[in-house]
Amino acid sequence: MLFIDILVIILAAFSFLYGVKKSFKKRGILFLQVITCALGCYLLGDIYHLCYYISTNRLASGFYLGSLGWIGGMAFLLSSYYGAMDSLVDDGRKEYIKYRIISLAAPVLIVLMYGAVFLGNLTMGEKVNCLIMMITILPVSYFALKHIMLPDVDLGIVRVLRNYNCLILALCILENLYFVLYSFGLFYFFNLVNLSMHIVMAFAIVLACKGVKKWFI
Amino acid sequence: MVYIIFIAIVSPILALLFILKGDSRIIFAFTIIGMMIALVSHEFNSVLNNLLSNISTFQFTTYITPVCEEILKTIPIIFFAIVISDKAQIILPISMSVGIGFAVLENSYMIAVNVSSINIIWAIIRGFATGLMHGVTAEVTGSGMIFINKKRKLFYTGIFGLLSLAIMYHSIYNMLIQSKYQYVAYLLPIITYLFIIVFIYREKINNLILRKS
Repeated sequence: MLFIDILVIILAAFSFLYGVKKSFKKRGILFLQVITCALGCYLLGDIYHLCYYISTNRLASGFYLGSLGWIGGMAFLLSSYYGAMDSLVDDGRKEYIKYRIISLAAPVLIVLMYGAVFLGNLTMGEKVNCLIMMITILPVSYFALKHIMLPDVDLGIVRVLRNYNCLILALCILENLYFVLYSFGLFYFFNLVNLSMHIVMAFAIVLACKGVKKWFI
Repeated sequence: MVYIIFIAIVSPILALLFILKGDSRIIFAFTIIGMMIALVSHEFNSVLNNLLSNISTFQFTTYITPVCEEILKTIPIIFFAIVISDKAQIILPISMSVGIGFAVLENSYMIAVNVSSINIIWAIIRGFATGLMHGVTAEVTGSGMIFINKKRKLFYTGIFGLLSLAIMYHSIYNMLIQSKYQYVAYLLPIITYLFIIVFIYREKINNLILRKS
């Protein structure tokens, strides 16, 4: 348990510091800076989880402030899409309406997965906690899928970030899968999923930095 | 007690405000506002403590206090960003001022309450650690205010994330300070502050290293 927690913190710290190094420089890209903040949120959430464990000798359950790490992380990812990126790639033209509708498949999948969480062996407090976290995942999964499918605009900014968007979509699904496994008490599996999420995050920031670099070539 | 401390500290600074001009006056004014927020927060926490009498002190200080204090500290910064200016050059120092003002009153109150059991080491550690913790968290939320008028979409979603960061940071500090790992709690804000300082002056540091080599 402690070993996985420490491994997860190391991965989150690597992702965050890599993001800080690449994005917080003079004339840094705002899109990357917001993603870095999301990784910082995940890192602080993981540290909170570990601190709670070593201070109280028990695992946090139900809604606790460490959950803000995941909620805040998703809020920042939403900010990077809705506040920084979406207006550049989708100017609201009618031809894109099919992409907007198809993209709703991702949030629908997340809601269906929550159905499994609801049927699991959790207390009402824990179910509400998962529901709050799931709500923050919905818009991010929608934008991630939309940005994977949208045709490229003149500057080619969509194409270079497709792999990154695939990883963010995977992150949304993995985060929800974590809740499903947690609700059925499959502790080893959900720790594995937690580890996978952090590996995905590490790759995502590297791909985002590489993709953004190509904007200027 | 806390009101007497507040009046004793604020009165001389208030007199200073009329002499100062420009940014210095704004920074000192927001230090006073930070102290006022600490006062409001003290009352707010007392009411919540009475209402939630069934939870322990540990739970109260790790779950309730950080949320309440961080939200209250954000209010004057949002007001300043909307009404006066959202420029980074002034928003970031006034955010820090609110946090430091908050910490000054909180520390003064702690000294008054525990006067018989504290010493100079306590004052140094508490002064740096709590002062910087409140300063850093206010700075984090303040950094989002830069976008309040320029990029509204980014602000609405981003401010929630920044508040989450500040609340978690505050909560981790409060949690560790009550555990056997107190020294980690004291080091946490100091290390974060040094990280921020190195980050701000990184170019000057790089130039210095290059010149020496």
